[in-house]
Amino acid sequence: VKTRRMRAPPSAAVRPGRMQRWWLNRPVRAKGMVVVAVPLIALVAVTSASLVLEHNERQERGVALTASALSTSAQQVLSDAVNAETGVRGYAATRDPLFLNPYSVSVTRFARDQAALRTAATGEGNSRAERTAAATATTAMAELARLRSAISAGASVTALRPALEHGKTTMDTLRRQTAALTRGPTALNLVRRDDVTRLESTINWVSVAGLALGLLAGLIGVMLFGSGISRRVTRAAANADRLGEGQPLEPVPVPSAGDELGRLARSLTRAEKLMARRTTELITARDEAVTATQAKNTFLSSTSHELRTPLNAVLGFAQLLQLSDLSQEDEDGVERILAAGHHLLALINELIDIARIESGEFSVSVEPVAVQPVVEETGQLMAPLAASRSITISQPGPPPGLAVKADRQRLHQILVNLLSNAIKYNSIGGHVTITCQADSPGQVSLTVADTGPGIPAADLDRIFDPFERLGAEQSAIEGTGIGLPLARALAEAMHGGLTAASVPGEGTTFTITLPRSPDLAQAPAAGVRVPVPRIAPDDAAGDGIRVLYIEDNPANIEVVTRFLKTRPGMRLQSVASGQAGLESATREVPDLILLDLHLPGLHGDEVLRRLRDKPATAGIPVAILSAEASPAIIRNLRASGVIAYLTKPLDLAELGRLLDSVAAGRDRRPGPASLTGPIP
Amino acid sequence: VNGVVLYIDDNQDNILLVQRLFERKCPGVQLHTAMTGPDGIGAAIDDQPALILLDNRLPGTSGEQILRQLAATPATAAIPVVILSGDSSPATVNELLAAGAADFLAKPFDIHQLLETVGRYLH
Repeated sequence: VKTRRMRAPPSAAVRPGRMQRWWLNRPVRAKGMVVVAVPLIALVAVTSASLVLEHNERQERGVALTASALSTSAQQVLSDAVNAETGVRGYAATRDPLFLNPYSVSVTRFARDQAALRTAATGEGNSRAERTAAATATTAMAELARLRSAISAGASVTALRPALEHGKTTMDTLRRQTAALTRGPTALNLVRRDDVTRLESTINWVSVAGLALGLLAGLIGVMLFGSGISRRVTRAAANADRLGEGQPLEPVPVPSAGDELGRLARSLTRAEKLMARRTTELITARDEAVTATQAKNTFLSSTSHELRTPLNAVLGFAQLLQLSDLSQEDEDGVERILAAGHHLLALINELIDIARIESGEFSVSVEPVAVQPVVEETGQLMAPLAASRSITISQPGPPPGLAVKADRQRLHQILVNLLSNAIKYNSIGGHVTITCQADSPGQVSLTVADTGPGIPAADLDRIFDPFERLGAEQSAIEGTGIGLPLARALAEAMHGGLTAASVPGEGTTFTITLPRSPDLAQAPAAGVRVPVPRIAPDDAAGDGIRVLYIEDNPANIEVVTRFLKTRPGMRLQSVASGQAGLESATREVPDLILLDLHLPGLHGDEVLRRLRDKPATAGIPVAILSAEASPAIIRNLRASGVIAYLTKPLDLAELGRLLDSVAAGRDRRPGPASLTGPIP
Repeated sequence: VNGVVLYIDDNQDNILLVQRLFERKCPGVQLHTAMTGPDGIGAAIDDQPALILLDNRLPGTSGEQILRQLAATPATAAIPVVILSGDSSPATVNELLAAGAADFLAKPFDIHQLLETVGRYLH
C-alpha cells in the first residue's frame, strides 16, 4: 500500500509581507478586538470633533448676540434722548404742555435703557465708549430738564436760544458717540455670523464623513475577519475532515502563521505525517507477520513431510513382509511394527495439529452445525469399536434443530476422540451416553459419559496435559497421549471448551461447550432416529455393490468409507478428481456413483454431463453429495437424471436408504428416479 | 497389469519399497525411477510412461511446479500423475488437484491402496 503525501506546491504558499506577518502572528482574540475597535475608534473621533465644533459655534453665537444687544441698547438710549429733545423743542415753540408727553415717556425709559446699555457693554473697549456716550446722554437729558424748567418759568424765546443751540450741539455729540459705539459690534456681529454659518457646514461635513468612515472601518473589519480568519478556519475544518477520511491534506497558503489557526494547521500536518508513519509501521509489521506465518507454515509442512517419508518406508516394508510367508513369530513382529508405526503416524498428525493451533495457523471454518447429525455420525463410526468391547452407546435424542457454531470436521474429530476414549477406557459391557443440551441462551453443551473406573479428582487436570495417560502404562490401551489436549485445543479454537468430571468407580463425563447458533431447519429425515447400525450380516444388501465416490475432501471420504465398512457387501472406491472419476467409471462401471459438485479442475456437473454422454457410463446411477443446494442447481440435476441429491453435512441414514434402494434395484436399471433431499 | 510407471522420489528407501512391491505384486509393470524434478520430466518425455507417481517434495522443485511443467509439455500432458505426499492438509491437496493431479495418496501410503490406484491407470 502506497501512502500518498502531497507537498504544498510552491505557488500555493504565499510569502507574507512584514505587516501581514505581524497581523498573522497576532492571537485570534487580539484580531477580534482590532476588528471591533477600528469602527469604534472612528466613531469616537468623529463624535468628539463634532462636540468641539459645536462648542465653538455656541461661543461665536454668544459673541454675536452680545454685539447685537450693545448696538440695540445704544440706539435705544439715543432714541430716548432724541424723543426728549423733540418734546422740549415743541413745548418751547408752542408752550403747550401736551408736547411734553414724548419727553416724559423718554425720561422714564432713559434710566432702564441706560442700564441695559451698561449690561451689554461688557467688553473693555466698549465699556469706555459706553461710559462716554452714557455721560453725554445724561448731560443732554439734564440740559433738557433745565430747558423745560426755564420754559415753564416763562422765559422768552430769545432767552432760550443759547440753551437750545447748546442742546443741539450736545445731541450731535451724542449721535456721533452712539454711532462710534455701534460701529464695532455691528461689524463684529456680521463677521461672527459668517463664522457660525461656516462652522455649521463644517459640522455637517464632519458628521457625514464620520458616518462614512465608521461604515468603512466596519466593512474592513468584517472583510479582515471573513477573508482571513473565517476562511482559514473553514480550510482547517476541511483538512481535519480529510485527515479523518485518510485523504491527503490541502496545502495551507500561509504555513508559518503564528496564531492559533497557524498552530492548528501545523498540528494537522503533523498528525497527517504521524498517521502516514504509523501506517507504514503497521504495513511493515503486517508484512513481517505474514512472512513469519509463511515460514511457520513451511516449517510445519516440511516437518510433516520429513516425518512421514521415513515412516512410509517403515510401514511399506512391513506391509511387504506381511505378503511373504512368515513364521508365526515373525508375523507377530511385523504386526507390532505396523501398530507402532500407525501409532507414530497418529502422534505426528496430532502434534502437527497442536503445533498449528499454537502457532495460530490453525484454521477452523466456523459455521452453523446441527448437533444431532454429527453425534449420530460419530456414534455410527465408533459402533464397530464399541461392539468389539460389548459396549452400548446411547444417545437420548438431542433437541432437534439444535445447532452450534463450529467447524464440523473438527467437532467430529473431538467427538471421535472422546467417544473412542469412553469405549477404550470403559469396562467390558459398559455404557456410553452422549447427551446434548442448550444450557444457556448462548451455549450448548455436549457430554460423553462412560461407566469406566473413573479418574481420581487429583488427576483430572493432568489428563489435558500432553502425554499424560493415566494408568495406560499398565494397560494395553492404545493411544497417543495428546488426544485430549488436542480435543481441548480444538474446542477452544472454536471459542468453546472441554472439561472433565469423574466419580471414581462410576465413570467419567467429558463436557464440550460450544457457542450456540440459531436452530437449523430440520432435514427431512432428521425427525426419525436411526439406530446405530450393528455389524451384522445383512443378506438383503446382496454382495458386491461397487460404489465410486468422486470427492476431493479427505474428511468426507473418510466418513463415507467408514460408513460403508459397516455395511457388508459394499465396496467403495474413492477418487479425488473428476478426471480420475471419469476414467474409473469407464473402466469399472460401478453400481453407484456418489459425486461431489465442488471438484477441483473438472466441476461436478461437467463430470455428470460426460458420464451421461458416454454409452458405457450413461446407465450408472449417480447421486450428488453437495453443500450447494440452490433450487436452480437441483432443477438442472434432476433434468440430468440423478437419482438423489444429498446435502452436506451428510445424513448417514439417508445415505443408507439410498444404498438399500440401489442394492434392491440393481437388476432393474436405470434405477429409481426418485429424488430425495430438498426439492424446491 | 502391464505398462511403464515412472516414480519420482528423492528417498531411496521409498524407491526400493515401490520397486520390491511391483516386482512382487505386478511383475508386468516396468518401473522407472528418477530422484529429481528435471530428471523426472526428462524420463517422462523419453519413456512415455502410462502413469507417473510423484513425490510432492523434491529438492529444489515443488510437486506443483513439476505438475505444471508436465502439463505444459505436449509429450507428457496426457500422462496421469498421482501425487504421493507427506503433507495432506486440505489446502495442499486442493492446490495439487487444481494444478492437474489425477489423484492423491497421503504418505505413509497403504501398499494395497497404491496397487489399487496404479491398477486403475494401467491395463
